[in-house]
Amino acid sequence: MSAETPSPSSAHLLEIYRTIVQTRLFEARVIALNRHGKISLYASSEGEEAGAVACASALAAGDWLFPDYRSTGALFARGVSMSAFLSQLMGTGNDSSKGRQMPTHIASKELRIASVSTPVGNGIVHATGLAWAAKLRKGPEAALVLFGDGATSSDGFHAGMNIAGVHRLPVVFICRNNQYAISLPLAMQTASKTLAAKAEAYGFPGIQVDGSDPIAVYEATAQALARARSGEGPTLIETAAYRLGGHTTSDDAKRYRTDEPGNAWRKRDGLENLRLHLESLGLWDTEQDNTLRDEIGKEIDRCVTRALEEPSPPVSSLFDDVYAEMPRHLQEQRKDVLP
Amino acid sequence: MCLYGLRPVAEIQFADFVYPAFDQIVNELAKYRYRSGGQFGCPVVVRMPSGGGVKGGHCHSQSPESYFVHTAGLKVVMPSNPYDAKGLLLAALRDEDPVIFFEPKSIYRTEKIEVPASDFTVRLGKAATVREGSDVTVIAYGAMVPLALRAADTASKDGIGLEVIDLRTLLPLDIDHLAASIAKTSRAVILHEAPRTCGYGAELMAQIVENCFWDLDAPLARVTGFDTPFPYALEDEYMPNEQRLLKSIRQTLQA
Ligand SMILES: Cc1ncc(C[n+]2csc(CCOP(=O)(O)OP(=O)(O)O)c2C)c(N)n1
Repeated sequence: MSAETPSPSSAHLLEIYRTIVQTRLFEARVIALNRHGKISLYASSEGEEAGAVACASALAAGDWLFPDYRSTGALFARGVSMSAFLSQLMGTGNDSSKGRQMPTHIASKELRIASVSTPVGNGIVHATGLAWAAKLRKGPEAALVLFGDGATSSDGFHAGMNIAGVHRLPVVFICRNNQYAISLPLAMQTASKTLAAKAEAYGFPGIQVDGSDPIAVYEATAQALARARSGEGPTLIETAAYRLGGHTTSDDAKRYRTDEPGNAWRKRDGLENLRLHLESLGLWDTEQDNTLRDEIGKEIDRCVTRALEEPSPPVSSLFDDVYAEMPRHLQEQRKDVLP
Repeated sequence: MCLYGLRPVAEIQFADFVYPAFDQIVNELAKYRYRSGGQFGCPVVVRMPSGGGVKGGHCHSQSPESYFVHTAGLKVVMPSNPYDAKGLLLAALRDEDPVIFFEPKSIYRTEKIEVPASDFTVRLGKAATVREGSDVTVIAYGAMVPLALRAADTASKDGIGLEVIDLRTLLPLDIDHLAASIAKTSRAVILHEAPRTCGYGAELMAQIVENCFWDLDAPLARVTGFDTPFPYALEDEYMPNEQRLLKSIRQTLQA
């Protein structure tokens, strides 16, 4: 990284740390809720929280985040509350998307978070489109999109990267390389030496960063955003990590891989790395850590209790928002479900 | 781009090449409003030349409208003349939802009428009666409308009055307009270029049966493209023509 790389302030680092801890504790609870049948499915980001939090915390308020289904840390860094995310995960009537999407597929106009696309790689195209619009309108906004290693094989990856390169668009591509696309290991995904190398062919820089080093991810993202804003175009950042959990709560990774690599990756935990760093700077200690975990745990308890009491979306809402105005045929069909 | 507040217009060079974008249209464009709980709309117009009659072979001739009519969240439009093309396009551009705008390429140069230079729109979701008649309703859209009008001229010489309806918008369908015509004629023939099985005519038949069954004096009939790939050398045989339409109309009248 070059000398002028913006480094996070102490306060910012502490904020990043708190959000990583929150993500870890929150996901553990969500998985328990899944086991109890309260949340139908969840895609754990265990092992990738640090990278997700760090990259999203480099965004400016006016920027746009295009998360994927394994971006919980980025959502929290962007300002999504645990309550709001629980409403989404449980599909309650309080969800900002009215319970229309499966768990983790959030959307928030207020926080400039695009609607999560299920088809792998599609968000790449949308982030590129947003960046293109910002460039056409000479706006200051940049787009940041998260996707997995598997997404580099999608048509959306090619289409988005290509156009972003051609028009030098203000977009930052974060490829969370967690080594697996469900059961498919990276070696079966690509013959490229690295995923970052793919940017070369599209005419802009691709870099690899250690996903368990939140400071490095923050600095790389901040620099890429600065590049984007100054009209120099996109950057592909490959964050190296490992998907410690299953693909989702519906997956059993033991059926296609052994525990050894995961155990090795656990030792390079981004959360622990940052905690030790903060302690070495005298910014953090065990007592503060215990207090933080305790507070977050209690907040999660409160949010879960509330979310479990939230009502389902009203049946009448089934036909809302298909179009800006409900056409005749939907008004007719609606009568079938209304008492 | 829509998230940023723009209203993009995408042009697919030929409708036959829309399939790589199918996922983006069906899963993204059409669903973005719904899945975001109404937070984000996608006012995009996707224009694409469609249909046969230009010696384009199987990849410059298709009529894929049914794929899109089957997709909740889209509006689907196909004009049959320059006036409607302008009016419907302006309406589509101002609509808050994504509109698939088919341009029947075989009539790009053949249909000539006055088009005002001024700003005017043709409302989406409204069919038009382009010829009045009392014997058989012919339901058509796009390049099939001029064909239906030619057939109506021929039929009138035999004393048969065809009522020709130009749907203009396929989704949402103006079923009331069809029902009113069928209440008068009691007979209908549906005309489209696309293949028959699950073609738009199938949906028209279903809705007519649901809404107009007791008005009908004869089985509904379809004159369509065949369930084959679009051919090159035998294009004229594949495309619905006046003879096939008139034959179907006579059968409908005899039933
Ligand atoms: C186009 C498409 N095909 C298949 C799927 C099913 N699917 C969901 S996630 C996934 C794997 C994606 O792997 P990767 O991009 O590496 O991200 P990760 O899940 O490892 O974070 C697949 C195949 C999908 N969502 N979209």
